[in-house]
Amino acid sequence: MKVINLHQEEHETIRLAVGNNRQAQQMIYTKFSPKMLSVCRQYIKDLHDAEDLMITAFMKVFTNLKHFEHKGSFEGWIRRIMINECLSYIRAKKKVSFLEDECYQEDSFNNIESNFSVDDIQFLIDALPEGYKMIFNLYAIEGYKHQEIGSMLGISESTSKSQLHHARKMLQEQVSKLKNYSNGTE
Amino acid sequence: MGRNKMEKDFSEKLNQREISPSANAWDRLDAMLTVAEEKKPKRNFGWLYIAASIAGFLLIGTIYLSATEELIDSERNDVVFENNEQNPTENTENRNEVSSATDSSAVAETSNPIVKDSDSNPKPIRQIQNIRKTNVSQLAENNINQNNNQNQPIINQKMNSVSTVVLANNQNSDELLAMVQTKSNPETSKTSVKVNAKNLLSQVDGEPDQSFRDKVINSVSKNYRSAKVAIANRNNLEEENH
Repeated sequence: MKVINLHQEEHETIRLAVGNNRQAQQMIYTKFSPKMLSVCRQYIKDLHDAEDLMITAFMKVFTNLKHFEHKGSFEGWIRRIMINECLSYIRAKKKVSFLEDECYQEDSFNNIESNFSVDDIQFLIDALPEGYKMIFNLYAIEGYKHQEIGSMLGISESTSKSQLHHARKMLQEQVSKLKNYSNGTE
Repeated sequence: MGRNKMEKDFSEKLNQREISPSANAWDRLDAMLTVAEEKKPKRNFGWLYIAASIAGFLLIGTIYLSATEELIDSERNDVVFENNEQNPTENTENRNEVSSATDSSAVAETSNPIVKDSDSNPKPIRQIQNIRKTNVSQLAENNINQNNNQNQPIINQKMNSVSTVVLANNQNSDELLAMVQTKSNPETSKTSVKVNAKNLLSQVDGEPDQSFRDKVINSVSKNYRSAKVAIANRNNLEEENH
C-alpha cells in the first residue's frame, strides 16, 4: 500500500514537472541528484566536472520528461541519461579510440575477493585508462551486455569484450598492488 | 562470461554511494531551465511571422487580380460608352426637330442640348471608371467650347428671335408641333450633329488606343495646366489689387 502511494506520488510529481512546475522539478532533483552525481563521478575523475555534467544531464531530463512513458524505473531512466552524457563528454574531450584485439584469453577473476571501501574502488577505477574505464563501468558496475555497450559506444561486441579483458587484467594488478600495500608487504 | 564476485561487490558499493552536489548546483539548473522556458515562445512568434507574411502575399495577390479585372471591365465598357455617345446625337436630332422653327433657333438650341447631354453623359462613365470620366468630360467640354465659340455670335444675334419663338411656342404649341412634324429641317440638325459627333467620336475612338500611362499623363498635365492658370490668375489679381 505504501509502495503504491509512493508510485502515485512520483507520477504526480513527474506530471507537474512536465508542466514546468519548478517546485516539482526541484523535488526530483533533490531526490536523485546525490545518486546521479555518484554515477557521474564513476566516469569523471574531477568532481566539479562531474557536477557540471550532472546539471547538464538534469536539464535534458526535464526537457525530455514528457517523453518518459512510465514503463520502467524513473531512476533508471535518469541514470541512463547521466551515463550517456558522461560518455559523450569523455569521447568529445578525451578523444578515446578503441583498438580491436582478437588475441586475448577469457581469464576468470571469480576467485578474487575484495573488502575495499568505496573510495578504494573509485581509486582503482580512476587508475584505468578512459577506454577501459568506460567499458568496465558499463559492464561490471551498470550491468550492460557487450552488445548494448557496442551500440552505445559505436564499437563491435568483440572489441567491447577485448577491452573488458584488458581492463580486468589491469584492475587485478592494481588490486594486488593495493592489497600488498594495505598488508604492508611492499 | 558474467560479472565476478569482485565486480558485483564494486557495483553494490558504488550504487549505494551518494555524493551531495554543491549548494549552488540547483540555482544553476534553475537558471538554465528559466532560459530554456523563455526561448520556447519565440518559436511560436516565428510561425506567426510566417503566417502573417503568407496572408500578406495572398492579400496583395487578390488586390492585384481585382485591379486587373476592373481594367478589363472598363475596356469592355468602352463599347457601351461609344453607344452612349451616339445617343446624344439622336437626342439632339429629336430635340432639334421639335424645337427648330428657324435656322437660328435650331443652332441655338442644338448647342444647349449638347451641353445638357455632356453633363449627363459622364454619369455612367463615373460608375465605370473615374479616369475615363475625366477624359470624356474633358473632350465633351472641349467640343462644347468649340461649338459655343463658333455659334456664339449667332446665338447672341438671334437670342431675341429665339425668345419670341419660345413665346410663340408657348402660345401655339400644338400648331408648332404639327409644323415641326411636317417640316423637319435636316440641314441645320445635320450640321450641328455632324460637328459634335465627328469630333466626339474621333477623339473618343482614339482613346481606347491610349495606354493607361498616356491617360494618366493627360490627366496630370490637365490638372497642372489648370493649377498654373489658377496661380497666374491669383498673381494677376494680387498685382491689380496692389
